[in-house]
Amino acid sequence: MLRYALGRIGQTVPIALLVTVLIFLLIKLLPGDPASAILGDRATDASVTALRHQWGLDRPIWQQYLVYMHNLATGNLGKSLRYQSPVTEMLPARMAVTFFLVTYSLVLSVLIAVPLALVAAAYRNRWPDQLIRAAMALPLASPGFWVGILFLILFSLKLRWFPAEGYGAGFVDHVRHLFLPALTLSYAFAAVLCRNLRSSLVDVLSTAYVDFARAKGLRRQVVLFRHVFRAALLPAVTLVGVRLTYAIGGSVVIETVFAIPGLGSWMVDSILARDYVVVQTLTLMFALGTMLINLTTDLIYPLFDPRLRMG
Amino acid sequence: MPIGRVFISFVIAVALAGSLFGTAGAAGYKNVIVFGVNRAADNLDPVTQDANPDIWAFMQIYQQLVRVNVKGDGFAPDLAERWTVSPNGKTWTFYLRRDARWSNGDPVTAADAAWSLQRAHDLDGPWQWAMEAVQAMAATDDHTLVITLKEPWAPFLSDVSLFSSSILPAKVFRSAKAEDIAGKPVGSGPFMLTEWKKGDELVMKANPSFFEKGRPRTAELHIRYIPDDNNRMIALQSGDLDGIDYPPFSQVSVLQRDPRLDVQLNPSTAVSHVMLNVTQAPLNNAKFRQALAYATDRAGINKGVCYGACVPATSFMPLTTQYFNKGLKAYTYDVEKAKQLLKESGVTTPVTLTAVLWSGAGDPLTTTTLLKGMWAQIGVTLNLAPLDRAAATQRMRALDYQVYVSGWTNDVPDPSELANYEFDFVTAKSYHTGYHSPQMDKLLADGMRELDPNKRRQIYYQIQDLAIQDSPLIWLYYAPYTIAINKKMHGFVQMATGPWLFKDVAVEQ
Repeated sequence: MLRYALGRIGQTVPIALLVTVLIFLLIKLLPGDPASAILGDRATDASVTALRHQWGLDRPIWQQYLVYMHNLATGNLGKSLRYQSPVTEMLPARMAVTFFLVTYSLVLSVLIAVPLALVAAAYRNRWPDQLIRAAMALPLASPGFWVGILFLILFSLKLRWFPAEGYGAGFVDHVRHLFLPALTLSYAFAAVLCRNLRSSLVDVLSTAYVDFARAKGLRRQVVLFRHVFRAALLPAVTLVGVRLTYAIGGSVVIETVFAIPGLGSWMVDSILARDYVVVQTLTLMFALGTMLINLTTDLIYPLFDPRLRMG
Repeated sequence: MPIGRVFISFVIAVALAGSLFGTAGAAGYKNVIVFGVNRAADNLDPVTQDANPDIWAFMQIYQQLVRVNVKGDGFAPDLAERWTVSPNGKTWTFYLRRDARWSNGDPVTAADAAWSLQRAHDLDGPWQWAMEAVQAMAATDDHTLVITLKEPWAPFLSDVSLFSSSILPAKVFRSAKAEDIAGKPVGSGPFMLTEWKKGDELVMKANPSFFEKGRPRTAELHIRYIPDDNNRMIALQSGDLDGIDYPPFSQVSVLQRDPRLDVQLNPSTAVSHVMLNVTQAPLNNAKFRQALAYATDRAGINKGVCYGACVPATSFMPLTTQYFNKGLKAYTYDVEKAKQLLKESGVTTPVTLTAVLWSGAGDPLTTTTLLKGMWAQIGVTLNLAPLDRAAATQRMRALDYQVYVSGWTNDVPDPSELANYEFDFVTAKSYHTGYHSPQMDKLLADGMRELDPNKRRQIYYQIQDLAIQDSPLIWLYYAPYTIAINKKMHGFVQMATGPWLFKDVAVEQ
């Protein structure tokens, strides 16, 4: 188990290094110059040149990369070109928002998907199952930014249950402010999760050991929760892992639609302003986050499937 | 299913919790104004910034010696209660009010003013031209500032009223780092910055030392960045926000139907135009440019882009600018005349041009799409090249474009700022078109030095005529500022130069 874990962790290091090179080159390939983007249309040529020099943008790319890596290694993430304040100063608050949002959306997905999947599997091919399956096909076909607006119109504008934007202050306020964005982010995933969980539940329900458990007189609920549910959960865990990485990507759109001050909206703004320093750091964060989630998923498997513990 | 029940009760609990929150203030008014904006402020240094979100934010915090009046056609006292100019037009004396204080409680002195204007004079930035005429500044006592000019300078009062001529506390900033001036402003205006969540929200509190007693009326002002137009409108309609800027023209009539809202189309100094790169054929041919200008249906663009809320442009100048010529012989929409000019120009059709525009913004896309149809009638094919802002700006600055969609807003009522930017090659390659005319240069120089208002008027009339004739840009329409506020918000004013005034605002609960 320990060797398995160490092996998986070891693999992430070269990938992370490769990611830094890719990020660095990709952003330099983009046309558009941060100095003129930040100084604006009316800036003089002299001031643009001076700013490019000050930021080291007139140096060869490999030198810029070495400086970047040196800074990274010493924990210096640099200063936002746009705001002139250290990225490390702005990062924790933004990261907390996105972490809250992604976790919240995951919790909502599970809260929606698990009960529905259980009902659908228990009533397989009867009307509750048909209804749930039909209803779950709908979210898969509707894009998040559009559904987000519909939720806003229904829950914020008409019913006034939830605020339309922002993050709020304090835990309860965060839960309230992030409900609609988390729901938008989670509902499509809930559909996938529900269908996936239903089919693995159905598979497990038709195995011999379930028949045996029923035959020895265990009640239906006991069989479902103690024997079936746990066995059906493994594919769902993989799915949750994969999906979490999507949720990080999805946060880019959803945070912009709902004006949430997280990493995603910061990323969009920084790309538009060619704030290289921030874009580099955030892409790295997203990449590391994705790798961390994959790693965690891999490390969680053995908890559900004892066969993997041997490896 | 028990889990299902838990979920439903969770949703209900969250919804109930939601209704318990809200801002409450004394005497039936809210303590906090929450205003939603479409672009976030980056940097609050008055001297280095040229973007409206920055300017409009720091204008809540800083004052100038003199300010532009609300209509945008004259001046009112600000930190200076009065001023005089010597008969030769070269010595200006400003008498500062004695009750003005910084938000840290210290008095505002003439030495602060001298230091601030000197900084605006010395620092290389987009507004350095405003202090160009200054030879020397000196505080003769705590409340008197004397400025000597190199030569008589007609737009000087305009220049002093510009936001880049904001007065900063010398003691606080003299040896401060650039990022402190950018991020921790200290001013004498109605509000002071207490918290800045960058890219999210500016939190301002009433400046307790503000000289106008009883102002601002509301204790806190939150300027919140909400980039998505739909979200900003929904947040206003659902009561989360008290007001928003820039609801899109397409939504103005929808919002007007909401009885709780006051939708304002405020007079602005905005001019929308397309720039033509006159350094390349065929756009180096004046007759060809005139043909394009005649083939442009400004009324049609107003209908398509502004839903009729704008005014078709006649001059390069905004309507409210001093010396705007109402009787100007402007371009009409005349396809026949355009065809004739095209023939005279010697340019052979079909011609293909490419327009660079900002992607993701609706108005430039609609404008160029309409232009494509209009210009096609005279045999000019317009291709569209949407690029993101940074990439487009880089192409524009490098004169690596043919047609570029852009716009202008005045910062002062005087015409010289815009006229120089638009037609003086040295200032900004004539608005990055590459246009260069000795006749125009002479007129621009005269316009800066002529002190007799009538003679000056004639100069700017001639500039407008010559601009029409040479047409390095095609002026399309004058757009109002769109604002939507809750009717419970009273006392809100937007200046014609753009900034909002929040000091008189009170929001009913």
